[in-house]
Amino acid sequence: MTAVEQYLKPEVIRQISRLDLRAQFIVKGFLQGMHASPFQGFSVEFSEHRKYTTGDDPQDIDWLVFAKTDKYYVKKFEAETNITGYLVMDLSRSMGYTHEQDLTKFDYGICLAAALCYLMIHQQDPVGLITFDERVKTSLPPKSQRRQIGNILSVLAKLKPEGETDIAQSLTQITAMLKHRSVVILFTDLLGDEESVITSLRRLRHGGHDVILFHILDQAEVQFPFAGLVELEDPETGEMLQVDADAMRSDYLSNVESMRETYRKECFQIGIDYVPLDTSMPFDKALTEYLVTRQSRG
Amino acid sequence: MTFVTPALLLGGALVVVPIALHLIMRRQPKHLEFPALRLVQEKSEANRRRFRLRHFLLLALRIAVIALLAFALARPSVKGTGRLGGTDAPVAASLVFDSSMRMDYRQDNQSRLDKAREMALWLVNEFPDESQIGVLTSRSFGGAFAPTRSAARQQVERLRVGAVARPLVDVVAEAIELVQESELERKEVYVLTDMVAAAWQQGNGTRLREMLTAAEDVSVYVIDVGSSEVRNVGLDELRMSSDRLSANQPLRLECELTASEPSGSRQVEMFLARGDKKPEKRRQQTVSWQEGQRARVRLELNGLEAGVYQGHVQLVGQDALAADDKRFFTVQVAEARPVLIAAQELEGSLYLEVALTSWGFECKVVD
Repeated sequence: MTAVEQYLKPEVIRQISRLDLRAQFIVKGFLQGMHASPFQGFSVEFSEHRKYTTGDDPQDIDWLVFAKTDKYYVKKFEAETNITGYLVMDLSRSMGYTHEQDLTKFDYGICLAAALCYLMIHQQDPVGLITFDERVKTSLPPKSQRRQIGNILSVLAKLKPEGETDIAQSLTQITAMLKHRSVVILFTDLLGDEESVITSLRRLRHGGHDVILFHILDQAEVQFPFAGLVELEDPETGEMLQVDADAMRSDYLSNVESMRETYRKECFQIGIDYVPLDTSMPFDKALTEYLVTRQSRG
Repeated sequence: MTFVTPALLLGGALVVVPIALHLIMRRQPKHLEFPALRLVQEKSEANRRRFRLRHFLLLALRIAVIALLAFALARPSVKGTGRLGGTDAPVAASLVFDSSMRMDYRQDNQSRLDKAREMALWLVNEFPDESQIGVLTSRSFGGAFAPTRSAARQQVERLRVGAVARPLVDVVAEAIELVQESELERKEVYVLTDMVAAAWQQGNGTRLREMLTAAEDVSVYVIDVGSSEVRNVGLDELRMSSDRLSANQPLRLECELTASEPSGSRQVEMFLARGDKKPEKRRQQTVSWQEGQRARVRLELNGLEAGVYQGHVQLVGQDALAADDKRFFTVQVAEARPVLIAAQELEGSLYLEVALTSWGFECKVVD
């Protein structure tokens, strides 16, 4: 693994206490690592330009780009290139869980959100923030100025996952809030009723919004590494259950896979980008998903 | 079933340990926070049932292991009767050998005793482990089980023919008594004999018959090591005119020659030795026989000086049974006792003189 890719490992990011630095690390590590990625040739720097074609106003030619490349490019209008993005963060108590990983699901989510915020502002895309648990709790309107990074990061850094979950209700509320077509980037563990969540996702999509769903689980929730007799407690409801972990493992893993598969299928049908993650995975996967969506729009 | 070390069965009491641990020290489950509890709940009831079953199975397995260990350490021992094909059960066996001189009869370079020995060694090797083996012969008294299988083997290998000390019938009876003393279920007697009638005509046949009737748990096997076709020439018992003679009396020897061969003839020699001297051949004659008939051998010797003589009469040549080719005798010759005959007429005393002389007196006649 190269030095750059180290920046994308959760255990490395955890060592950086400031969220803004964490975000920069992730983004820079990701961008520098992109020279060997399938996105070779993709230039974030020039994503606001397109080639000069007959009929374009010569005044729109970007002479700086010509100086660099000897080719004629015109700047795209902001309306052509910019995507308004909303970072939607699940603040339910289950997001504050980790078994043995360096980052909780929530920490992982906000690192990712911070990195995406950084990246999007760098692209001059307006970015806003919405948080929810049983309902929408806070929201920051989208802005594209650089100080928006600080605004968003400062809110993210103070967030604590404490409440109970009602993803469906919150998404319905968010759908009603959004006036213009946006990219909604959702960070959640989806530990709620599947049917109602999928219905609310359909509703969100039906509103014309692009949705990227980051399904974040802890590595223990994905692999169930426990052994022997255990008493499991749901941190939100307080419900407890004694099980033989060794005997339960295969059934549990089957349930997790089934849940993921359900969301995968439904999201595919709805047209939502579904990204299953766990807290042991490097951040580049999530960032790649964002860029793919960005590219398809641009 | 019995146990070699029954005291170790007490170890089975240790089964209470896993039971106590199961009841007293129920494992406390580890408490863990787990938000995805919903994904666990769906199968938890079945999981709980499986867990309880597994727990009880584990307890049962632990109990079984301790019990089996105690059982195995106590070394159970099962003795089969052998009546239902249990040929692996140990056996109390007596091997009875007819070791009379007759068993020296050789055929195909092997005597009957050699054949009996071969059969007996095979039996000794085939007997199951922990069998008790006794070797009894007609030459010796007293029988007991050999301490080990190899000791029994050695006894069989050392068997030799010789003068019979007791009848075969009595030896078989003793063999039955020996095996009946054993605690083993299987009791067997093997009699190795050439099945010659003469071997069974002596001894207490009535007692043996009663014992065979009473001993229902004893199996008696008679192994015939004899031959269907016998070819032999032998001398029967020697008859002497007298074993005390005077110096002027002749020594007369007579015996029958018995032949189971077709007509033929053989030389018969007489050897005599006085005191420690080497035997000398004194007489020789040819004896002929017809098939199915016996021939008489007569030998006479005169002029023996006073003394004790050892001698033997033997058939010249070799045949299947050497033991009956030679017969021994002993004769004591004393000085003739003098008798003085005073007669008026010498002629009248002649008959008296002859008569007295024939009685071994030395006569002197005076007128």
